[in-house]
Amino acid sequence: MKASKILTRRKLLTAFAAATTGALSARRAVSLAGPASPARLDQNAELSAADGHGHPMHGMSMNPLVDRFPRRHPDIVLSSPPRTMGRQMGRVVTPGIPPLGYRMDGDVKVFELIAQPVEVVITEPDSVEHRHAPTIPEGHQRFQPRSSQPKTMLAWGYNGNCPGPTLEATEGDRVRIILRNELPEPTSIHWHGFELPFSQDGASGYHPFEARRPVLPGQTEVYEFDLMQSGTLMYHTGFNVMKQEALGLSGAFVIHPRRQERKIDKDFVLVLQQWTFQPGNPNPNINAMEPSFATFNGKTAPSFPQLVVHQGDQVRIRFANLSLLYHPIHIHGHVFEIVGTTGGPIPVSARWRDVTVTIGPGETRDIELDAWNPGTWRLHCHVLHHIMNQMPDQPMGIAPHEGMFTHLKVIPNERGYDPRSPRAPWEYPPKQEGI
Amino acid sequence: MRAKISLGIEILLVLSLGGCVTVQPESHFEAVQTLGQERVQTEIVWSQDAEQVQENFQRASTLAQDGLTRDEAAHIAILNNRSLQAELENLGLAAAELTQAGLLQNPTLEAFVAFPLSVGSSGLGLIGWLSDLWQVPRRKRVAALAARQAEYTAVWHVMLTAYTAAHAWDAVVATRQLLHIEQELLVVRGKAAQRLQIRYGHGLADTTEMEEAVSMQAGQEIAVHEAKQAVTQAVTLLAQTLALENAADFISTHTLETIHFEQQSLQVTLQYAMDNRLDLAIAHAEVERRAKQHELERALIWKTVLFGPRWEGDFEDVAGGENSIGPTLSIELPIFDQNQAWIAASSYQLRQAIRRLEALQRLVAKEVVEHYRGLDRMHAALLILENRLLPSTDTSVNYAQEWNHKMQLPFITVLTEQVHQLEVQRRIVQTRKMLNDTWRMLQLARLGASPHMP
Repeated sequence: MKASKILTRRKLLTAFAAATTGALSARRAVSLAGPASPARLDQNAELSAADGHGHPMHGMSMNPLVDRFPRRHPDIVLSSPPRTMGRQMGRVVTPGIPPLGYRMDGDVKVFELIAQPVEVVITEPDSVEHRHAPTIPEGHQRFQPRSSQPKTMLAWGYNGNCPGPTLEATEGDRVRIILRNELPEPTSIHWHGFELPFSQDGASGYHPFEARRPVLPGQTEVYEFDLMQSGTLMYHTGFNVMKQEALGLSGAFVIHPRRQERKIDKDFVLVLQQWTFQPGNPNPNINAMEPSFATFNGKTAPSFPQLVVHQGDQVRIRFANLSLLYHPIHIHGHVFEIVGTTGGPIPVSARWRDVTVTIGPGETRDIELDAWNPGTWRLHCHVLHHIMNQMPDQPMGIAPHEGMFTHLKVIPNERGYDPRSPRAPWEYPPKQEGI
Repeated sequence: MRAKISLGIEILLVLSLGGCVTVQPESHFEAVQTLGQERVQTEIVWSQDAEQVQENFQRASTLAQDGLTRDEAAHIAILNNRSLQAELENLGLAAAELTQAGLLQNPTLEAFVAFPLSVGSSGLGLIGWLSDLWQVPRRKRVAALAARQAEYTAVWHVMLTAYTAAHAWDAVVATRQLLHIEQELLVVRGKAAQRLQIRYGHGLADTTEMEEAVSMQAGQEIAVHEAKQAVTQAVTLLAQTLALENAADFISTHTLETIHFEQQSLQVTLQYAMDNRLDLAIAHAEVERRAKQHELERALIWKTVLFGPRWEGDFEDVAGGENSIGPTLSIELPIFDQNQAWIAASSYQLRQAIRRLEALQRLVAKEVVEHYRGLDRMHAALLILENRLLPSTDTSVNYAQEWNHKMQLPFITVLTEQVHQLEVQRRIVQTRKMLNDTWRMLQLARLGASPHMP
């Protein structure tokens, strides 16, 4: 121990040589990287202390009066949806959004997605309440809900829809997704929740640590990977995410397990999104943090269709939250079981019963229920601002059903059975294990 | 006979020399110069012939050539302004009135010749106006007071001309500066409208915001037109006041500065006005003139009293016949007309003049206090604008530009702050002009007259 502390001439020369080599190497590395190289970000270099806000940016050298980031590229002609659009080849239904089929290339399922500006009718001009106004009984007229106001949105989506169509495949499949960019700025697709090679993740950018550069306007990119898991997953833009996802570039991706646990009669996908509009302006304000519209699959009640099932159907509903807020979704008249997350099916022993399921931003939740109870049951977000278009920014009056609001309509098996009647016979069935 | 002829010639000579009295307005103009130069600090000129008019025009043109200042504008206006020169002619009229008032009325030569000459007596008389002895001095006093009023009025016109010229000079500089600001505002508001359209496309604005920006741009276009019209009005006022075409072209100043002044206390200023205001002096003279007029009217009770020598006799035998010579007196007896109405009228006029004087004193106090306080407050407002608001908006613009450059503030914020900055600059120019105008109004209230003086 004592001998090791003795500084011999040999040790001194060795240390000097090592220090000199190290210093030269470091100098070379710095000169190659350059003082303003983006590599500094990769290396987590210390931030500049200049004005306390990191590196001063070069700023807007271009004319700020020219729209450098328009919502639509003036020179790109928007394509029609691919031939496979509208072909129902899976099992899930995404109400309001046509399905997307695939073609086979050998053993590979090939999907085509076209990122493009889309016009979305969030609500129709005529509301259900308005159409049903004559049914309002005597004495109730002045409590008639106000009409829902029509709302059209100029958003970004895939294959003419916002959100994009739901992709369906089976665990173990190899999929290829061809992305064509018809937006005025680069984009990519991030496969949210997928276990896949880093090169296929789609979180693209211009940092050296990123695997891919985004797809330029007018160009096409291919993602290809094996599906190693099952569950309700999502896809959304992987470039300039805050803007592009807020404009609607997202969708659901359902991977069915190789073997179903049990038979499901109706399998729905509801993509939860939120939007902010200045009154009258169809362009979503992506900067605002207090959204004014909440939608299921890009629509709001009363235009969003009801989920129609038959009494006794085994129903699965998959919620995919691509908004910036939590949504506790509640269903009337039924207890359901939460059976899956983005990570896949929840083990049977870990599942729990509930009547409200909260889905956080970036999360999916699958619930299953036995539709034993006939009726037109409300299904809605329990953050009640989210069941009102334009939220509380408009005169309240008697609010119609809007926002994240729909009905689970359970059609009775017995003909003539009217669940609205207090005299209708009602029998509480024995609880099944697992539901 | 020769001696009598000689006497007659001498009488005619004296009478004819009596008609050689001339009108002398110079003393009145000297009074105007003295009073006027105290007030406008510049030479006062009365162009009395075409040659002098041309000479003064040349002087005015030369003065303007090397860059027209505010003081030079006032000087040129006094040299060259035709209205002022027309007003100065009142001095000649007043002098003429005064001269005329001092003249005796012409005597009357009356003759009676009997026909045939040998039959009756003839007569010859030279009758003078004895009543002039008490009427002329009174008439002269009235005319002298009117002449003094004319002097004060002329000084008032000198002041008004000089101050109008200074006001017009300020107006030219201010309106040009304001036009420049309005044009800059138009550019900024145009950019704001353009930017709002982009923001609308990105969902960041609603229709009303976008339309408001568009309407603000349109409103600013109107403001530019109005500013151009204001420049035209100022330029033409200056040209008219200085009687010099393109006078505004000689102004090289681009920024309106405030007039430097030191203010006395309100009490001193008010007392100074009471002692020095021209309209008060005119009103005092008016009271005095009406009093003298009243005396004159009373003197006119005995309006016509004639007196003179009269000869009667035979022309055929002037030397040896029966001739008589003696004084004759002719009096208009005030039996029916004792001039009562005019005496009463003059009495009313006197009382009216006194009341007007009292009213004017109240008006003087009102004007002095109003402009004195106005000057104080305008000055305080200008200090706030220049020392607090402008630096604040400058800071805001720099801040907005810096953080927009760093992409943490939208460009519309830069434009909004630029609008605020330009609006403060506009207000500064307007306040400076109002301050200068108020200072001139206070000077008129101290030394001149009410702008509404007839």
